Amino acid sequence: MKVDMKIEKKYLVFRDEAREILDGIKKKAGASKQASVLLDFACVDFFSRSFVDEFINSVNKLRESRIEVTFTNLKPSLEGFINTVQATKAKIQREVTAQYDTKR
Amino acid sequence: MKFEYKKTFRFSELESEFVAISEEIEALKFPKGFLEFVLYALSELFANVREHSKAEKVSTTVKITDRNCLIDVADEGVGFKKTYTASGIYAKDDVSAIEFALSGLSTKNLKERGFGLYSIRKLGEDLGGTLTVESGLARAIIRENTIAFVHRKQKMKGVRVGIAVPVKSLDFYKVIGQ
Repeated sequence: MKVDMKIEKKYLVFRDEAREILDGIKKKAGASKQASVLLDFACVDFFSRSFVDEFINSVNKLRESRIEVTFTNLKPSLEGFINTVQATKAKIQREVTAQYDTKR
Repeated sequence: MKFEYKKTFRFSELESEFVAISEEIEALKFPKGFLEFVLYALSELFANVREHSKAEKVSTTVKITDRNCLIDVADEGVGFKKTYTASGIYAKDDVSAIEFALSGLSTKNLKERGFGLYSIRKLGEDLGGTLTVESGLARAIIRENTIAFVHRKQKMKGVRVGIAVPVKSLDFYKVIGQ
């Protein structure tokens, strides 16, 4: 099943906005066991870090449920910002895991 | 250049006020990376209020001239200490709670890190500015990589964060990625 979804906002700031997108995708994908979602960010000019952090978590959850998400019309600066937040999250996870392992 | 915004508004208006302020700020001319810093700081402070404060009202001041920028966001919500307590994290007093927030201790997931104040602090330091954080009976003043704590005479409700920085260029994405 293929789903197209356009994000109408210019600024995405809050975590609950990421969760709203997730809910919207789930609703559109319905009971489909495997879906492919194209998110259109043409209207979006700004992401906050909080939004991106939650958005990455949401996209990962969707992928676990076999819903593949791809982005279109994402401005290069926003794409770069997502990559930066993603890299920082991964780095922190590694650091925290290493700390836990050392304490054990 | 002169921009001034000072308003107390309802919690439910956080999003619309962010949009209103941002659209005006985007029309200003800044050195490279500075607009990104202003929007980043304001959005993180608003996101913190929305996620944690349980406040009814939010007071925000943004003052920008050619030389200086001040961003100040205050809520009258539950404050850091209660927020951490509600997440099962024990902060012995308001100073500890502020230290937790500045170090990036997340209330959401101990395997992650709360980035709001942690990253604002890094950006503020990179710009050579001052960050002031107040909650309960404590006030922290962060300047040149050092934190000074002051005991407030009167207990304040909620959290106030003030950032004062010179307007200058910065490698925004490099600092954020550190």
